[in-house]
Amino acid sequence: METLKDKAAIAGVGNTEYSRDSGRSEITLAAEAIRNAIADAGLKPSDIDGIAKFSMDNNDHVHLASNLGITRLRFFADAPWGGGGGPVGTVLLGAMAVATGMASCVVAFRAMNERSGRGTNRFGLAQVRQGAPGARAYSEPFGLFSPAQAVALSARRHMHLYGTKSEHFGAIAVACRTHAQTNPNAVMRGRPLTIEDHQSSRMISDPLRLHDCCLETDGGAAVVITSAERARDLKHKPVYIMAGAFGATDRNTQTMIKHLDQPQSESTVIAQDLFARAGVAHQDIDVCFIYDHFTPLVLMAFEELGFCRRGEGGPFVSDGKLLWPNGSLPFNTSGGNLSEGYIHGMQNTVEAVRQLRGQAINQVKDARIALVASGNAVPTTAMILHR
Amino acid sequence: MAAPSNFPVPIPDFDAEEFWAGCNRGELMMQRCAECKRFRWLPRSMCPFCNSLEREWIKASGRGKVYSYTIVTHPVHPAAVSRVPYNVVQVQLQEDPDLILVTNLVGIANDAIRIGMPVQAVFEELEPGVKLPKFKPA
Repeated sequence: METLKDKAAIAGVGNTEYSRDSGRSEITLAAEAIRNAIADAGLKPSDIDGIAKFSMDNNDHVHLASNLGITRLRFFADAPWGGGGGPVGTVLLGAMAVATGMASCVVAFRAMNERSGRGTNRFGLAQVRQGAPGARAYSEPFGLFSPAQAVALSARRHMHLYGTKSEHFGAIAVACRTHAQTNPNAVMRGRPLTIEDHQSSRMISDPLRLHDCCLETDGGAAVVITSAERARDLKHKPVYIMAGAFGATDRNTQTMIKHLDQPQSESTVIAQDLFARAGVAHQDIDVCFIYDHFTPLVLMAFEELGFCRRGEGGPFVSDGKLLWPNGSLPFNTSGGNLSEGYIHGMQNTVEAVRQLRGQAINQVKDARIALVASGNAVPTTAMILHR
Repeated sequence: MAAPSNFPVPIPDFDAEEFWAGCNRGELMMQRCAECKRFRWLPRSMCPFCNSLEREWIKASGRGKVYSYTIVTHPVHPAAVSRVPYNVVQVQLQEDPDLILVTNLVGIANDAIRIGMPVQAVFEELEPGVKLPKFKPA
């Protein structure tokens, strides 16, 4: 069977500053991040003929084309569930478009004013609406509104089934915060975090504490995808898309609520395809990026992606392996959604490329293969990259 | 729109009207396939097990167990401000392990809630004419 393996590569990455209030429009953030990614690739905007965006992004393809001066747009797509499924989903859409000749150079991006609310409503606040239609009818009338509250239910169930502790969740928050301390663009630089700080942070929705929840951030991040052949002629050494996978199950109908007693999840569906398509094993991964919206879902993603067995996520994340530089599986090395900035995970995709180029601030020595996973607990996506 | 003093009322889907009508009568009506007789939750059009479009509504016992729970302390909706801390609970009905409803427990202190505790459905008015299925310790 023909696969996507190494047919496409990421040739450019770019981002804006990450802040609590950008003071700029969302399309300004998108245009700047994309312009930076195109320049990083050594390309011109007129070389771009495809745009893949998050379905939740307020910027549309043609307005971006009109800002960037892209006169011949041959591919445009939205990553569904983007949202948390977007930071890899957009890249895979671009890779598939490039591999099939639908386009030659595609930008994938996310830009939002999620913290200041200039355009995007804060995800941590309920939108006040008249009535609860669809699946929301089975949650909002009971006071379940935010992703954190839904995740708390799954976190509690995991603790009950496996003896997982809040300190295990805290280890993930501490790893991200530690990595952010050397990153000048990280929102949480200069604010280190210990397990004790995590344990004394206020409860949001028991058992979820403040530091189990990601940031809310204004900013933009973008990558340029082109064919492997073309990428080899550009400015940087290509970062090849070795494999990608989409995953969901029929249990994803209530957003962010997991079904831990089921053998299948969105992330197990992905794991079944991803490693086989790439032709690598878990121990081949040099650095990993797991979408960190909420710490319990990171722990569960490690289990469901097959890095450890179900129920073993607590000890797995707590033994120091996730910490750069000495851990065996450095994770979210720029600080992630929890501490660099919440650009819906797209900043993790950018950092993965910098790691494989050898340009990262917290550079993993000799990093060759990276795994990037979009958000667990929603229909999601993941990819394996290599240099 | 003025800040609402209550959580939003459910807007019944076409495929779920009987569930909400049952709540207003004080009956927990669960959707079941009329062909293969398997329950499903959330209510939907087609049976995922046999693809039949024929469905029936079965009055459930209302008995179940706490599957998981959270105590919300940080209010994210205007109507939550005066209610925190409040519980949100998942209850697994005894009829089928796939029937796991998001609900609230009443008649119990938040710190006494435990996974596995037996509970029984009760119906509480959210606003006039709209009752919700809640649960109390059995």
